[in-house]
This record gives sequence, C-alpha cells and structure tokens, in this order.
Amino acid sequence: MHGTTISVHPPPSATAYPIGSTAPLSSPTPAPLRGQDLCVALLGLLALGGAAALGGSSAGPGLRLLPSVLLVELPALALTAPALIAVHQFLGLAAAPEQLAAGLGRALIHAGRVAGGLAIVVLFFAATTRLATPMLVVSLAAVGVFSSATACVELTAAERRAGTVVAPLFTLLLIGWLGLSWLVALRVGVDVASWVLGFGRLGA
Amino acid sequence: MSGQATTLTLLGVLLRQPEQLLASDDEAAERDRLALLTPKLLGITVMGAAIFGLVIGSYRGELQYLYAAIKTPALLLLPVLIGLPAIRAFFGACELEIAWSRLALAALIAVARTAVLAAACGPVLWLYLSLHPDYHRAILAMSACLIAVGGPGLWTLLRALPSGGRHRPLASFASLVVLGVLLAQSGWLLRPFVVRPRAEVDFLRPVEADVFSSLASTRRSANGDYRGWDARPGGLLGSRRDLAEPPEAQP
Repeated sequence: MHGTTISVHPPPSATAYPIGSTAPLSSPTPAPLRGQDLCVALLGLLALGGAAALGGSSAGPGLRLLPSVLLVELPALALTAPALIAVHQFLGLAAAPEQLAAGLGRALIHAGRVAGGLAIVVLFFAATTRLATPMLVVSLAAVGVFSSATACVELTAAERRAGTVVAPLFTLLLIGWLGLSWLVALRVGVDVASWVLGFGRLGA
Repeated sequence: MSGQATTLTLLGVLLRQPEQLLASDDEAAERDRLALLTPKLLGITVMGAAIFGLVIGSYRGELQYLYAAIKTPALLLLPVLIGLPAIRAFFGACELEIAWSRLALAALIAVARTAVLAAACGPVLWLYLSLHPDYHRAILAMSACLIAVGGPGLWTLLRALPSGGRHRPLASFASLVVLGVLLAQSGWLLRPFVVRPRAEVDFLRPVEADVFSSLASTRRSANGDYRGWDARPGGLLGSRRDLAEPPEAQP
C-alpha cells in the first residue's frame, strides 16, 4: 500500500509518557478551587437530569427530572459536610476546616464531570429506549460512588498534608461520614423521586 | 522498527505493540500523532469491521451482505464515541487527568485492533455459518466472536491509559460497564445483523423496546414461556405507530 507514510517510532523522549507510567498522584499543594470548575460541575449535574428529562413520557415528571440530580447531590453534601467538619475539629484532627471544605469542593467538581460524561450515555438511551429514568438512577448511583471515592482521597490528602500521619480516628470518621452521606442521599433521593412522580412535595 | 511505515506496517504495529503508537513526549505531539493516524486507523476499522459484517451477512445473503458490512463499523465506533466523555470523567475522578487527544487516539487504536481481530475471525465464523446452523446458534457464534475480539480491544484501551491513580480499578470497571451497555444497545439499535434465511431484509428495524427487554424475552422463551413481548416504540426516536402484533426479537 502506498501513499502517506507515518512514523511509528516512539520519539526519543517517549519515556515521558509511556505505557505503564505512573501518573502523578495528588499534588502536595492542590490548585485552589475555581468558580468556573464549580459552575461546570453544577452544569454537569443539571445535564444528567436534563438528558433523562428528554426521555420522560409526560411533561410534568419529565420537567421535574431536570433538577433531580442536583436536588439529590447538593442537599446530601450540604447536610453532611458541616457535620464532618464540625466533628473533625471537635476530635482535634489535623486538617483545617478550609482544607476539608476544599477537598469536598473538589469531590463535587469530579462528581459534576462524571455526571456530565454520563449525561451523553443517558441521552443515547433517552433517544432510543424508554430506559431514560432507570439509566438516570444507575448514573446517579455511579456519580455517588465516584464522588465518595474522590472525597475519601481528597480528605485523606488534606489530613496528610496537615499532619504527618493519618490518625485511625480520622479513618473511622471518614467511614462514618460516608455511611451517613449515603443514608442522607438515599433519603433525599426518595423525596425527590416522590416529587418527580407527583406523589409528594419537596421538604414535606 | 524502521522510521517510515505504510498502512500494512501500521497494521503490524497495531497488532503486535499498539502502545508504540501512543508513545509521545507532550500533548502537542500527541495531537499531531492523532491527526496523522486518525484517517489510517479509521480506514482499518472500517475495512476490518466491514469484512466481519460481510461474514455475518452471509447467513442471509442478498442485500444483507451490504447492510451488515455498512453497519458493523458503526457498531464498533458508536459506543466509543458516546462513552468516551464518561470514561474520561471516571479516570479524572480517580486522579488521572487524560488529555482528549491521548484518549481519542487510545480509543481509535483499541477499536481498530478489535476490527482487525474481528476480520481475522471471519473465516472461522463464515465456515460455521456456511453449515446453516440454527438462527440462535448463529447469533451465539457471532456474539462469541465479538466477545473474543472485544476483550483484547478493551484491554488495549485500558492499558493505553496512564497507570497510577487511586481507585483506578473503579474507573476501569465503570468504563467497561458503560462500554458494554452501550455496545449492547448499539447492536440492538443497528439490528438486524443476523437475519433468518426466509425473513425480509431491512437495513434498520424501527426504534422500539431495548436490548434488555429483548434478552428478558429470549430468556423467557428459552424457559418455554411464549407469552410474547410488548415491543413498544422507544425513546425520542421511536416511531409512533401502534404495534398490532409484537415483532419477534432479533438481535
């Protein structure tokens, strides 16, 4: 076969990004949170609900699906984050409140990005099947899993930056907070689902 | 390896050491490499998948040769196209920020490798289909081939991403699930691939139901429960026609 030829030689400095290279883990001093990133994250959460709303069978519940992901993620975080920070400080652990808040903010940003990526998948199912709502529920769970994983990493990194070692008490606190967060998210999720289906009202 | 390579050489590298196609020093070089390799990799994907499609189409013959050859490349490319943003977000959440150019190149390499391996499976599958097996066995054989060649393809994609990052297995698992679900639904959307010998040949069936309800119906039928299947039009693209008789499920 003739035509354009291509080099398949790895360039001399290929070792800078080879297969099996270890990507840098969390940097010692993470970049400060940017409002733009937070906005994009919120848009991602909104997009996930919006994608499912497009596949909604009727106008009312369909429209109410639009903010549903935001209404689960944000209240769950807003209800449990202050509790985490308060108990953390009460126990005399190392990290400062603002470091913990920044870590949670970064977890929210990643959750929004995951939601944005999954929104395209949900949109595909909304366009071709009647599975938009089940896919939304599965995606919401995936967003929860990834935000939990990221929060664990970020909070542990914040604690490690503040002190030399991570106390076992911190690990215990983290596990307790994760459990509480999932329970709160599930409770909020039930309320939001009732609202979307028209059987209840938010905050009731 | 020599410095210059034709498409055939590229094919060799793709099958032997796909990671060589990714090695680069910075993002700009990766973008150049992506621009250079994309037409070739897409060409290889289309050719390989079309050969596999021709083989599948041979079960029914006539126009199905052409239809299956056109649709099979789309079957491989569509899931990756839709799933790539989610995959990038999964790895981003696990502390692996991957440049779009690298991810796109990795995905193209993985799909091209899958397509070439699928084409390589072609003779064996054709031989089996030429024996006129039962329709369900033909579908099973096609699925087995796709699973057999899809595994190395997915492995190529995951290995092409930089290692490291806590919770990386979580991102890999989520990526596999997303790609698997998208592949299944894409296959359903682009059906029929294998057509019964006496059935009418269609390029695409109406957008109705989904792959999961089809599988559930097949499972019920396998257990001797032939209650039928309510294949209603699905999604935004679904037609609005009423189905007097539920159609038979055909992957």
